[in-house]
Amino acid sequence: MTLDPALAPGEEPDLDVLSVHEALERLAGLDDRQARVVELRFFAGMSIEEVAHVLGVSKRTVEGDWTHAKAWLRAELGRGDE
Amino acid sequence: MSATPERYAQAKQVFLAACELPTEQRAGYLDRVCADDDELRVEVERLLAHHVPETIRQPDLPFRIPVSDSQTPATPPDASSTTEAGHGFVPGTVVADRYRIVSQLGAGGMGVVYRADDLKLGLPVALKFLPRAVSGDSIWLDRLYQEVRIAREVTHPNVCRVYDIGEAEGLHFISMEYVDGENLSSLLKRIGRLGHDKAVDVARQICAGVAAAHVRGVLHRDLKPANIMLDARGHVRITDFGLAGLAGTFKKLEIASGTPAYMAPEQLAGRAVTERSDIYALGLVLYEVFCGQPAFRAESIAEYRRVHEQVSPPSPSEVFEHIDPDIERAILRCLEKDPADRPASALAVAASLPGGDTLAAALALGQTPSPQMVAIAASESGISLWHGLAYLGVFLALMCSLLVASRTTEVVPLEHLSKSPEVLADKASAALARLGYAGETADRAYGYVRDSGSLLSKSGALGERANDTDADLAFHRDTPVFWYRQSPSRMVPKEAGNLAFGNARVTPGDPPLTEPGMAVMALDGQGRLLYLEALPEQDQRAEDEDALTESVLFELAGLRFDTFTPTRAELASSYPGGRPSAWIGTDPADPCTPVRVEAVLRGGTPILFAALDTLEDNRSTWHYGTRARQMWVSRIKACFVILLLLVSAPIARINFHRDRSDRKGALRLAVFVVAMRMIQWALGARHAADFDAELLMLSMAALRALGEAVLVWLFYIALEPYVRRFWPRALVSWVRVLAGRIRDPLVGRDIMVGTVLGAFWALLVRLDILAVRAVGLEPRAQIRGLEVLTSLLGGRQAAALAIDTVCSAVYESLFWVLLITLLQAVWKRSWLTLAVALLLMAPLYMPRGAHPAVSWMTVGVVGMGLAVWAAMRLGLLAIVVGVSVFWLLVRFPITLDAGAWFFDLSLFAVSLTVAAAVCGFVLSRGGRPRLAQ
Repeated sequence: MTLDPALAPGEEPDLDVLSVHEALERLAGLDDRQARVVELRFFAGMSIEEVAHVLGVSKRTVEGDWTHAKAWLRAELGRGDE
Repeated sequence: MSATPERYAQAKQVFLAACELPTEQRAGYLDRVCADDDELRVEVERLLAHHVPETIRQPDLPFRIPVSDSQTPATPPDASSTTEAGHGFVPGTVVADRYRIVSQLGAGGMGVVYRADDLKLGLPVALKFLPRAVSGDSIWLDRLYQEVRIAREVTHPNVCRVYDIGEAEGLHFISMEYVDGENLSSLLKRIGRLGHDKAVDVARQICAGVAAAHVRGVLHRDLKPANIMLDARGHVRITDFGLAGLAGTFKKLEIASGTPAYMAPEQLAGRAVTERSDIYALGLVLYEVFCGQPAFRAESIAEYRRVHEQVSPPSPSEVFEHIDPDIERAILRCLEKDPADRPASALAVAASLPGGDTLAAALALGQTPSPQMVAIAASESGISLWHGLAYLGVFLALMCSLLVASRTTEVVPLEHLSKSPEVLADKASAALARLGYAGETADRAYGYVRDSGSLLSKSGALGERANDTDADLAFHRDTPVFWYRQSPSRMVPKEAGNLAFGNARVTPGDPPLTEPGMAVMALDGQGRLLYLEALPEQDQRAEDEDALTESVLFELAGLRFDTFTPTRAELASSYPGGRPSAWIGTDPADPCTPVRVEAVLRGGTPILFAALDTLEDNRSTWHYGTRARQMWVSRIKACFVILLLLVSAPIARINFHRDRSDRKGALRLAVFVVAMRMIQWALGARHAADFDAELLMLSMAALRALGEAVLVWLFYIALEPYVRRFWPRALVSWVRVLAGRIRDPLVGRDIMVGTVLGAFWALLVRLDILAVRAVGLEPRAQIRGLEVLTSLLGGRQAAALAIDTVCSAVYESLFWVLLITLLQAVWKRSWLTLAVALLLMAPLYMPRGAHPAVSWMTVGVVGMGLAVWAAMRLGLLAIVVGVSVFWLLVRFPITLDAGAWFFDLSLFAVSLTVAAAVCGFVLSRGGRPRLAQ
């Protein structure tokens, strides 16, 4: 939960936290559960199992949501174009 | 693409299916699925391009390692590398040759936490293993060391101690205090809300821990119930200072790395994170502690962001109706959306909890509390109705006693001042007319001087002689003296000293007698002539009328000319342009006292007359001493002020630059002084008729007020921090007044207590006189400076005096408080401070008593003892009000006799005092119904 290296500052000085939030908001508009998975994984630092438990869905579903969300967010944030 | 949830879901499905396939088969799969849907295909390909393959498990290592680890250790938003490091060391493993793993305590974003035994010290510790991403990155490691360095500085019983940083199998870990307990989050989940007492206790401990960190400049940034541990004894420890960084060193992204449920709006929005962001989180934690449920519930980060920014949480009393209103207010203040509206410190939050004591906490931390902290110290709810009514009752009882005592005791020697100044002025004017000064009078002025010496030294004729040496030149009736001046043109004071320091009034010597027809007179309280000096118009009378004039002068002076024998003129022998003569005799009203009369007449018109004491100094000088002594006293005072200035200036400089001073408070105090002095000037000064002269007077007065304000500012900047450091309690209500929080219950209480104190002192002065009489001694006239007599002039002069009284009371009280602080700092024992302060101050105030044989006890021990005690107990504001009220009640004549000419003045002083007490009572109710609990 905390000091997540995924959001480490040193590497991505150009990544605007606002755009992360906006992307997440867009995601929530498209797939609420998936946004919740991102939030729990990303911000609350939960494991796949924990997220599955909290949301009452299968582990498999969470994994799918998570894998897709990561790719989608990267794409949305314009990363990986290099 | 992905404009609708349906299309989005479709793309997602195809993408996930494609991911399952080996890379080389994906194109074919997409060809099949997206045959006629190019949009879908573009979207899925975009996603695949951004897809980073999932981490792989390496069974021989305890942690999962991201494949892309070495190249991109921190690629957002791939958090998988850090969050699933859950399968760690097997219990019993010894790491770093020092710690034996006992069990895993938990896993979080920061890594896995184990309980371990420190084999070297034989103590339990907690080890937090950090993700490999952190361990492999030098930037992150630098940061980590930095944070551990900071965290180690925070040593507080309520903060989980961080010991050291170590490395095992390529992974870094932090060793920290092991807390055998449960975190608040699971505790609350288990038992719901904490009981009131327990909750207050826990809340206070949390506040203390957060405050301790903030004092070191360390922010927590991720305060939440899960980060707060409670051990078996209910002892609170805040953990996870791993997120903390030095305030003000954040980069934008780090801001958002907390937990959204407990993040302040500004933190969520990526704006500056300050102590007040932690205060917000603290408010949310307290909300949960007291209410048993989170203030906000949201489903997504976006929603969290929205509620934190826009929605007010349900007020705690809606969730739990029995919550203490003080606690509810404290919590809601923490949850203000605008950081500026939140309490400035966690100690302030603790202070607003029931029984909170920030100042004790600050002093325990070895800190000088800031003025803001002082201002918010102590409860805000004021005093109970019964206490308030009791104070008011005691005050009224004291005032009644004072009024009763005023029938038999007089502080202002009214037996000498039985006539009002207006009556005396008319008498003087009539006497002058009788003596040949019947010309047109355009202007007149009158007033009182404390004793004859001060008048004689200021008047022109005898001034030189009166200023001379040890021989005190005095009128034969040594009473307060009424002086009167008249002039054929308007009199405007000119002397620089008078304009700057003398309140710009016409005095017996300013403006000097220059114009024919000008006259100065001195009368005693009965209107008998003591002194006359005048410039006659051109000789109007014949010389042979001298004898007649002489007998008229004696008659006016209340002396019998036929009982006096001529003697050699001494004092006025060199008086130019007239015929000097002198007589010796006795006063019929007091046959034992010899009187010397000197006069100078010219052409039947008196230009000088003085009924003087004989030159041997046989008068008691107990009250004021000789003028030589008075002069020494004033010189010592001046030296003291200069010394204080010399000491204060460098201290003020240091304090100012180190930002220790209460700059705002000092500035406000200075502005107050300027305002008061200018009002006093406007009321009391003799204003000139022409613009230039008035402008000069105004600038002199402004200069004087500014000079005084600068001195006050300097002293306050220099010395106030020490009072705040050693004795902050003395300043609580004072600082609130300076901050403009007049409508404050505590301010009200202190005003009310101050009026009680002042009324008691005023009564004590009367009791002193009665006590002196009771033991068969003669009480001395108690004239407390010129001010006592100035009040008799009434009107604007009395109002100006009231203002001057408040200013002087502020200075005197500041001096007391400073002295007591000094003594406290030196001895650190209250009773010793009390004793020494009493010994130091009593001699200063003793001469104000009615008789030394009795007054050492009454005025000295009781009065000063109470003063010092009250200053120590109640603080500055109460003393300021106390001294103001006291002076008001002794400087103004007090009477119950509605027929007395000074009844109005008495009414003014009494009603001002009563108004202050009532105002204090109303304020102390703090907006609650005045007469209901």
